Amino acid sequence: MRYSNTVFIAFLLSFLLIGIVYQHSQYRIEEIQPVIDVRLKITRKIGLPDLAITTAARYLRHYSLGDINTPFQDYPASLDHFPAGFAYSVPNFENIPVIFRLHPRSSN
Amino acid sequence: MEKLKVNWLDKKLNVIDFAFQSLLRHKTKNGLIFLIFLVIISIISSIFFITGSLTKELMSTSKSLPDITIQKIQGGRQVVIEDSYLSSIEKMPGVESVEPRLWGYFYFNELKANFTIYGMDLNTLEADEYTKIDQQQVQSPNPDYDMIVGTGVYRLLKEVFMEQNFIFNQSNWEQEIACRIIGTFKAETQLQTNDLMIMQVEGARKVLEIPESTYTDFAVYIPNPEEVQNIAIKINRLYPELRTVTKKNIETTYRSVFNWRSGFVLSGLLISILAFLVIIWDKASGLGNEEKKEIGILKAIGWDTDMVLSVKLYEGFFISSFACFGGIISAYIFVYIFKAPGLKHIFIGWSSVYPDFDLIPFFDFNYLLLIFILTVIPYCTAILFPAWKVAITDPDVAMRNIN
Repeated sequence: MRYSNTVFIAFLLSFLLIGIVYQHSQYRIEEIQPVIDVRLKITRKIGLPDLAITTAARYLRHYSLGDINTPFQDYPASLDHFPAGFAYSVPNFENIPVIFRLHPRSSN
Repeated sequence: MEKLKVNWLDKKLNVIDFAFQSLLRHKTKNGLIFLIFLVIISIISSIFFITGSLTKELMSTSKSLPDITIQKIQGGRQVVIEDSYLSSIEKMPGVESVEPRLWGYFYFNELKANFTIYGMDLNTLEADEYTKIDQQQVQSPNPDYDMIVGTGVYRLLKEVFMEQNFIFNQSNWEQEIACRIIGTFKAETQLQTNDLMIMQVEGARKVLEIPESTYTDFAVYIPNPEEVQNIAIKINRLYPELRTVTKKNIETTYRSVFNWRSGFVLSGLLISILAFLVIIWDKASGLGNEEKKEIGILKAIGWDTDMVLSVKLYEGFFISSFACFGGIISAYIFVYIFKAPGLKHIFIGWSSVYPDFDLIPFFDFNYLLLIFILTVIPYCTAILFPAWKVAITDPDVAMRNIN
C-alpha cells in the first residue's frame, strides 16, 4: 500500500474519532438534561449558588457571594493559603451598585 | 523525446509518499517531537475542557437563583441581617417577594470537614428530589431536627457510624443537638448538594447559633428582569450598609472564574506555550546536516524549490495535525471518561467532602479550531524558513555542507 494511502486512512480515522467524541459529548448532554432539570428545581428551592467542589473555605465554597478581601481576612498581611484558591480567579464585583455620596467641601 | 506526462494528482501523491518516507527515515526524532506536541496539546485541551465544563455546570443552574441576594456588611465582612429590613424591601414596587434565608457552615472536627447547613421547610421538597431513608426504628427527638443531607456528607458520616443520627456539638454548648437523617439528595445533584445538610429553620438557627430575628441574607425575587438593577440601586441608596448581589453579577463571576487570571489556567497555558515555543525555535534555527544534504541531493537531481518546500510542509503538517487530533481526543478521554484524576485535586484542594467529577461535556469546535490554528500553522511556518534557505543555496554547497 502506498504511504499516501496510509496517510489518508490515518486522517480519515482521526476525523472519525473526533466525530465519535463529538457524538459522545452530544449523547451525554442529552442524557444529562433530566438531571439538569432536577438541579434547577433544587436550586430554585434552596437558592444557594456555586458548585460544591471545594469546601475547604467559605469563600471558595460560595465563591460568588464572597468578597475580594475574604481570602486574606484571617489576620493582617494574611495570604490566601488554601490550595484550591489557585484554581479560581478573583470574583468580578465590578457592577455591584455602590452609592458614593459627595459632600461639598465647607469653605473656612 | 516525449515528455513524461504525470497528472496533477499523481504528482501530489508522489510528494506525499516521499514526505512520509522522509518522516520514517528519522523515526526516533520525529516520534519524540510528535509525543511532545501531543502532550502539550493534551494539557491545553484538558484545561479548556475542564474549565469549560465547570463554567457550563455553573451556568446551567444560574437562572434559578434569586434575582438579588442582600447581605449586610460590617467592617468589610458579612454579618447577620436583622429582619427589620424586610418590610421596607418587600413594599418596594417591582419586588414580588423577599425570602429571609438562614444558612452557614459547621466544621466537624473529627472528620476535618466543612458542611453547609441550610434552614428551610423540608415539606417543600418533593419526593423525586431526594431519596428517603427508612428511619422508622429511630425515634425523632424533634421534627425540627430532621435532616436531609448530600451524598458526600452521608458517605463521610457512615465512616463514623453517624448515618442515622448526627450529633452537633461545640465545646461551649451546654447540650449537644442530635439530628435524625431522613434522606439524602440524589447522586446526580452532588455538584450542588454534596456538602449540604438541610433542616428546619429553627433547628438550623440553633446549630448555627444565629440570634432570633436575624438571618444570614435575603433572597429577593423580581418578575421583570429590567427592573433588577434599579431595585438593587434603590436598596443600596436606602441602606448603604447592605450589599446587593444580583443574578447578573453572579453570572458574570461564573463566566470569569476560570479565565486567564486563574492561577491554574495561567500556569498551565504558560508552561505549554513555553514548551511549544522551544520546539518552534529549535526548528526555525536551522536544519541538521543530514537534512541539508538531502535537500541538496533533491535539487541536484532536478527538484524545484517549491517541490522541496512542499515535502517539508507536508512533513510538518503530518506531525502537527496528528499530534493535534491525538491531543484533543486523549484530553477528552482523560477529562470525561477517567474524570481528570490528579487534575481535579487542584480544584478540590484540602476538602474532605468533594463530589465525583462527572461533568457536562464541553466540546466547542471554535476552541478546537483555535488550538489547531495556533499549533499547526506556527510549526509549519517554522519548518519552511530554514528549508527555503537551504533550497535556494547551490546544490553543490548544500551537499558538501559548506557553511
